[in-house]
Amino acid sequence: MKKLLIVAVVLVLGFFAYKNMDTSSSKTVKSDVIRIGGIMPLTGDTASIGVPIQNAANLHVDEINEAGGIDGRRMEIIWEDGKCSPGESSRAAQKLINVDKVSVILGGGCSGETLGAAPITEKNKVILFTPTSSNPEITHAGDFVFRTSPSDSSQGKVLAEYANAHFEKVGLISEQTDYAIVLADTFENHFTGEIVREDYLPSESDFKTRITKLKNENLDALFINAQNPPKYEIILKQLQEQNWATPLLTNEVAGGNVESTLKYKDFVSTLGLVAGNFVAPDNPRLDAFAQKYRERFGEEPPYLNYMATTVDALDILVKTLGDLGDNATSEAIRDALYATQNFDGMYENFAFDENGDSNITHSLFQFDGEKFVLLNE
Amino acid sequence: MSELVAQLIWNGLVTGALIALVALGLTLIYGVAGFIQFAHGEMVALGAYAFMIFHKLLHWEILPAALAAVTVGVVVGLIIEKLFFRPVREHDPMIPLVLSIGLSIGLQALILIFFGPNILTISDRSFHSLSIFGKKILATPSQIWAIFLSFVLMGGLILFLKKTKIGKYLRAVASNRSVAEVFGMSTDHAMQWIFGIGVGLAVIAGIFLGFEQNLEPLMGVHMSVKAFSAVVLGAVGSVRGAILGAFLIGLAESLLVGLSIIPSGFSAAIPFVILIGMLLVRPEGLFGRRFENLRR
Repeated sequence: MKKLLIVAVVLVLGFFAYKNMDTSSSKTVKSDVIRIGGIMPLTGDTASIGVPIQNAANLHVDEINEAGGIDGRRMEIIWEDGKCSPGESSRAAQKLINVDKVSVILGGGCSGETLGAAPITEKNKVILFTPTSSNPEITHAGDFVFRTSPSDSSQGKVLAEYANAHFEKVGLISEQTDYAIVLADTFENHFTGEIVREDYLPSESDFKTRITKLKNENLDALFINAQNPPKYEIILKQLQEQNWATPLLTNEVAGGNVESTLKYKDFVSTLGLVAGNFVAPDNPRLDAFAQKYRERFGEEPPYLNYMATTVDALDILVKTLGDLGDNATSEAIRDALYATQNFDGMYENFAFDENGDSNITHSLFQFDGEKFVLLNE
Repeated sequence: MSELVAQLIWNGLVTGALIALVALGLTLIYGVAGFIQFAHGEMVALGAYAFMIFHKLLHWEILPAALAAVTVGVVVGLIIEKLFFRPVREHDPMIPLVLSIGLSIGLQALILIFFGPNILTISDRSFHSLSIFGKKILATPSQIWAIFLSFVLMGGLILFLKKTKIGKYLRAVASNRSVAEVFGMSTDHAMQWIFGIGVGLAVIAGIFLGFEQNLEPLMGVHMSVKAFSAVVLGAVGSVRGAILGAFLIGLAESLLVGLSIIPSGFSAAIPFVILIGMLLVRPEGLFGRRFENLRR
């Protein structure tokens, strides 16, 4: 038994030593490598979004390096786990800035991560470039904060306008995270009817009581506002168990992940599920990227729209860093990003406004039993 | 209104039954081994994932898959006791406690490595809910089984501890280890029994929890927080106390939120509020002896 244990310990240590060796060996060729930081939720429920985005970013960095890198220098992302938490993310940002000395961070993934890291990156004049966070407060989070993802102020509004046209009394089951709270608040502010709102903590996964309570309220519709697909799926499952067939509204987290909805297809397809989301660009570049993703990771790429914003964020960085060359100070990168107009990325004519926000907005999508299709109202 | 209350009580009983199964293992391990096993929640997750492997991936029927999962759980429980807790048993109780925290983090990481962070469903089959008690309550078959089985197991466990020779022997080791050893009872043996039973119960809770809430790597943590509160509420080491504490927490969560007595965002705080209140009013727990009389 003892021998077995020793063998196991040696194997585990060896594994970690190997992993560490990988980064330490590349440190010796430092001058040929441009390193940026990356913060995504890599563990926990929201890792179901963070890990695919990390995969997409790594895949695209490989593409960039195969195509010659940034003026012949390899690009590399040092990943940290933000755990979808502001605290973890600010620690991750501290580490990336103080230990790895990066001047650009791709991330955070969750809005909470971006808002948690922003004060740190702002103070250290490091670019915080998120491809996925949508909390409206990020607009004013700092001078060095940029995003390619759209702000939720448009998502809450389009969902509320749809609800105004169709429902008088809506139930809202909402997660208490920076992303979901603000989306729920925006929806509440724009919705003219009556709202019954039930909040839950990210650590909870038993919604039976809340569903029983909401079911008893004679609602016209239910808005499921979860931070990640796992929570969305549990709510659908428990709705189905309570035999409660009500029209459903949901956010882009669910609407962008068809897999989750398909698991409850028979139940959901009759309910007229409508999700706020933003359109994935319809072009051969994204198709080719999605195909590469399938080949590399053996799964259907979830969130094609976020894959596109991630690729565009990296391409914008590559172009900016390449143009600036040796003059790539934080201030220079910032000014160059603000000056980016009509960038020819996956989203054509990509541009930043004066707050570093993207020009993409949300639309509505309806589940037709197989996929989400754009709803023209 | 009455239907709402009936459904809320049912929901509370289901939650309570699952907490009780986990809390029993915690309280037994504390009673006999003398420390809180923080990795007990991971045994819940272990059960759920093991069942998922047998049932969904290997296509076994529910009953054989459940039996196989319980067997795996018991074996893992025995191995954990032997490898990790036996060597430090005679040390300060702080050492096995800290060890169990480390074990908990390690096991979570193992689940993440093997199964990834994504949520998994425990079964491909979906079950229709049934209306019971004059169509007042909607219940899934797994909920009915969870309540039935947990009552059978709780009753069985109390009888086992009271009536059987092994049960008496476990209680003897729990009440005074040195004296029991003088009478020729092996502590090693008692620990193996306790870990086997405790982990077995946690695995069963994990299977039902998987049917209720799907599988996620941290599913055991949330459960063990509630179970821990139930144990302290009832009196640490007490079997009846753990059961009562579990149902109190399950029902309180369901009724207080369901009847809008407290805002639903605070639902996760309910076990702790009950716990703090209890520690202030009656720190020894519902079934505990006064601390002055309690000597370990």
